[in-house]
Amino acid sequence: MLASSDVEARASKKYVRTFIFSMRTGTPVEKLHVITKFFMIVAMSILALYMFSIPVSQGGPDIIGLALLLLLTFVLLAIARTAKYLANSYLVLVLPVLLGQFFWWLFFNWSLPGARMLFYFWPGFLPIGVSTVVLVGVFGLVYYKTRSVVLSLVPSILLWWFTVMPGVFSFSSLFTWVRIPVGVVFSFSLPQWSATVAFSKVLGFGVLIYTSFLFLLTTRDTEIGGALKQLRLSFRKSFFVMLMFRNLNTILMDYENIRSAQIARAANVMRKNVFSRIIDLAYVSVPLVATMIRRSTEMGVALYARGFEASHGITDYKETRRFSYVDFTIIAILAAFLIYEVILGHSITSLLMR
Amino acid sequence: MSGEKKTVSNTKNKYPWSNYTLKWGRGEPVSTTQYVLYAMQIAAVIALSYLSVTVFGPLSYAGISLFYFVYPFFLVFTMWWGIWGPIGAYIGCVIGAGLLVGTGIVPSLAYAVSDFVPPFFAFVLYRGLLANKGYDPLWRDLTDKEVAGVKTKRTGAWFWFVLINGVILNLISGVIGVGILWDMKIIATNAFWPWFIGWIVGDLVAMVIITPVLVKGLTSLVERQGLVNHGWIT
Amino acid sequence: MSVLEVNDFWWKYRSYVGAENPFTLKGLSFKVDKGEFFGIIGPSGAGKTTLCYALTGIIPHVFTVPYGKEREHIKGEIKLFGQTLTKVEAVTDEKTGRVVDKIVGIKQTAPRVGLLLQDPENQFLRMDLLHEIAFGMELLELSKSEIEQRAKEALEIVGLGSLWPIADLVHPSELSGGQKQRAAIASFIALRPELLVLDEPMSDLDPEGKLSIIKAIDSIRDKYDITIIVVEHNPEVIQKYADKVLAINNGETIAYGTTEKVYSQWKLFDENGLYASDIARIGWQAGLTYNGRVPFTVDEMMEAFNGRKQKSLADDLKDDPIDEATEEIISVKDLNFWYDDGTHALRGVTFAIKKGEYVGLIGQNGAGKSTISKIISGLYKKFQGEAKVMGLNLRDRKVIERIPCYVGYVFQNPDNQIFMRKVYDEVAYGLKNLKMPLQEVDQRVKEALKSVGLLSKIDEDPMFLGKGEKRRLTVASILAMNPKIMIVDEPTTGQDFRMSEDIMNLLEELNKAGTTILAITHDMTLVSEHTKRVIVMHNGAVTYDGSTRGFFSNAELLDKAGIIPPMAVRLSHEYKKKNPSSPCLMNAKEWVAALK
Repeated sequence: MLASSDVEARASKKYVRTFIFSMRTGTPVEKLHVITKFFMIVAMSILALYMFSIPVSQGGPDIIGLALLLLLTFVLLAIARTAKYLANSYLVLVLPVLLGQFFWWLFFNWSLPGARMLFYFWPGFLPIGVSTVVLVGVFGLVYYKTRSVVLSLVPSILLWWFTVMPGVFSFSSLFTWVRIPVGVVFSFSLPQWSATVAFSKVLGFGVLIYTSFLFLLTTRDTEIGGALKQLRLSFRKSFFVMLMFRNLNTILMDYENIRSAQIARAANVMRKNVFSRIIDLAYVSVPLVATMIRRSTEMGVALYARGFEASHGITDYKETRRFSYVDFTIIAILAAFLIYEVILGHSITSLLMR
Repeated sequence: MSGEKKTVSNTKNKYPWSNYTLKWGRGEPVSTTQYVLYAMQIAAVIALSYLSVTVFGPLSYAGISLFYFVYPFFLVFTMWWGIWGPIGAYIGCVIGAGLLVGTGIVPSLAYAVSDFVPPFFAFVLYRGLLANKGYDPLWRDLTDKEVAGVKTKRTGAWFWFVLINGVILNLISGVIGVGILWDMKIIATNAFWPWFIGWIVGDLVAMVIITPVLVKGLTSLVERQGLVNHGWIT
Repeated sequence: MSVLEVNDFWWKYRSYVGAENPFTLKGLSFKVDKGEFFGIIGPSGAGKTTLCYALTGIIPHVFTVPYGKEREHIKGEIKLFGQTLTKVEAVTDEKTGRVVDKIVGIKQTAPRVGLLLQDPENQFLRMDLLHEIAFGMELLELSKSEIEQRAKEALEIVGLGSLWPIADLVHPSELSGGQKQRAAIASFIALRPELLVLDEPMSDLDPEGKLSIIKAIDSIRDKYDITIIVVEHNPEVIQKYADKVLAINNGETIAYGTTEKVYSQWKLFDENGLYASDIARIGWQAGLTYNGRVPFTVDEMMEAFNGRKQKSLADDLKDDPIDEATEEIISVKDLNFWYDDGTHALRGVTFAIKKGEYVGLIGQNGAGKSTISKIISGLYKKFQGEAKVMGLNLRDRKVIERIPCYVGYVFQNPDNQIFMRKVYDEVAYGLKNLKMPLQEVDQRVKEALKSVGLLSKIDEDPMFLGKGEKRRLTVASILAMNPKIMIVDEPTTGQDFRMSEDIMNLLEELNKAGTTILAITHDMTLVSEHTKRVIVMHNGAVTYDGSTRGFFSNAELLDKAGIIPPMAVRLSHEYKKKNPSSPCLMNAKEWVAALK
């Protein structure tokens, strides 16, 4: 039992380091066993993959099911109080990725059955309207950040073109206010289903991405070691895995220091072609691997000094965690969901649409 | 009759790299330092896999980067450290180019096999076959005119290097990786070829440019510390 | 009773390729008695770390020797607790019946012997503080209750008791270097060792960290009657605590005996580049003695003065302030900076540095010294406030790209900055990045190497240079780029006295030639001997900006900043109590001049 002062001290430590960033202590998600969390992300991964892969002939992707899964993921992230970290760091990376996937699935999925919709490489006129606002807005935003005209023009023109292409936008008086005739019409058609499928991919990839982050943001590296022990992996093998994670942070730190040293040696001063920049990256390997070798030698010495070599077993001191009824409940619910969707082949969208 | 060819029955020590074989090791157990080094190199591959994907940010997804610069790293690590290299490549892909960038766990576990295959077979081919034909399994003949006093066949070395690693194994890896992602409906139905070409070209460029720098910069250091594996494990 | 007996011990590392290595340890003989505090001193590359490995069984069990060549690598014997630790003996092989050479001795010295290494990062093996402390005990398969009790006690002893309630939640990245070192000490204390070997345990730490380690070592020695062996460059620690000292150079003994006996040999220290402390140097050069030997402490020196007074040096103490009219070369105003995790690293920092100044930037770890330096050198971009270098605004992206042309940054760890496998190529790297003509590159490389004394090593592999040489190489690499400003981060960490002097003299020469120098350092002796001005930082803010002498004269300021001044300054403060009009003398040179 901890003394009351110890309890207070423990309560004052609000955040603990996880694989990436930190998580709030005392949340329900923190109390889950790591095997439960792992099963959760595996199950949700399988569900998402299944849901967005349902063929059109069988009713199409389970959009509502995917939306519910995504909502559940965000709820779990919110309960774990990790949303702040996610917003600060990964949002910029994730949103363009999802947008990119939407367009990949929209334009590279042309063999779907059903009715088709019209898109325009060029509608035969220069539209002034929402697309113009997008052009100016994106240009301004990127220019503010980069102060480069060229870097600002590329995404702004790209996004402008994406708002011009769909016939529903360029030919709608709501989105296009003035049409200035320029050039000839250049159109193509895509299956109507491709937009639905593309949207389902965005939801599905969202589930895949955010469940991965959920795991990484709410799992401490120490929990992995304990879980491996519970799975009866020998202590040397589980320690090997822990060494990997222990060194991950150190190596990322070394990489940053080495890159900084490279920049300090004018690596970024002159304009370099792509190949020169690639070679710069390669040169990072020399001090990185040299440091790796030095660290491993010293760690080997440190392990010997603790008696690692001669040991045969290891006491399980606060390494493992018991499963609670919450863990079993979550596993049961997800297993049921998996059976319903994947094995029995049902779809929540179809169920609700009936 | 004179002129009868005298065959050399034992070519064991014909080349300075004859000690590097496909055996398990040399009979010595894995030392603690080596144990730590292998764990550390896996951590390095995880970190580099992560950076390989995130450096190009929105232009990559599902762990496919336009320029997967970790590829030559785990190839070279395999040549030095045997099976630990492909293990690092697999784990690096699952965690670094998978979980840490948001690719789901199931796709990551599946398509990471594409990173295991090239270094594994490169090790087998070089140590099992090409080493006896005069090609250095540590790839020093890509950059050096001689190795431990023995003249190298640089042109041949580059030919086999590009053919085996850049073409054959790269194609196999691309088919497995992009194929698995395509089959899982992560890559768009009609987008297989653009992604496949991107995968192959990105890995080839990275390999051709970075491998010689790694080999020239580090192999002698690793060898001098006695850290090159004699076999698969140690 | 002897805990350790070393008898004519020789050791040679194995060579995997190329020529055989020379012997690193050559015929060392000494004894360490139970309960002793034994100091090992020597210049860099002397073999001190190798000796630590030999005393703890790491040699030959981690650094092994080839089978059949045992006698070529090991000679002599080491005994630990009366038993053989390492020795080569002829034994009869049970299987073959042949007589073969074999290394005999104790195979595993833990838990009776502990070894603390220099780098705190590499010996923190687990993912949280609790399991780090418990690791050795877990390997001994002690019971959970025993582990818990010992771990808590060990943390208390090293001054980390406040972390006990949250020990399982504390990640290594949340601990400072000093805390990690104390955690490592705690992990050994928990094993109840009889002998603890510490290899330069304080060299990577800030003053607060150093003090905490010393206190921890001192308390465990008293409480557990542990025999302590410490390798340390800092003579204050050795002189204060050590009962016996072994001085080695090139693997050989150069002095062995009581602390007094060893530190009385001025010539020995001078010839071998060993650091003998300001007080000892003053004693030697001014001819002052205490009980028939040189004084070691401030109190001893005060007694040794015996009525001898300082000359008036008020006019001679020229601090050479920079001309007010000299242009500013670095200017920061109201600078604020936050790291991604929300840490407010800089809080409204304002200062200006003039061209040609030599400024010391000091403060504890986490004060913001490295942060401000990285902003000035263009490595950190997202700051609030104003920062200018040579009048150029560091908010401008184009300026930041070109900053390496004006500001040279020498990082703390040379291993992180060596990219090439030839000294020439390493120095040329930065110049080639600037796309200079090859002829100019060649000329600059040779000039830079000449100025740091490495021209003879131009074709060598930097990976295999000595510590001091690597440090000089990194300085040369930056020097070749001809920066107007040079920022050096901890230039003397891990260096012995002579190497430190070499580096500092080199920086002084550069300063005289017109380069503005900003030195980030914990070494107060360096600050007192070379810098004219200090900027003191604490908790992200500047707490003092002025002359070095002014700073060291003010005991209150020193206390507030948590800075322990060099011995010469402490002597001045003590002297001033009896002679209020005496100036603050900052280093041994000024004291000797005052006493002659």
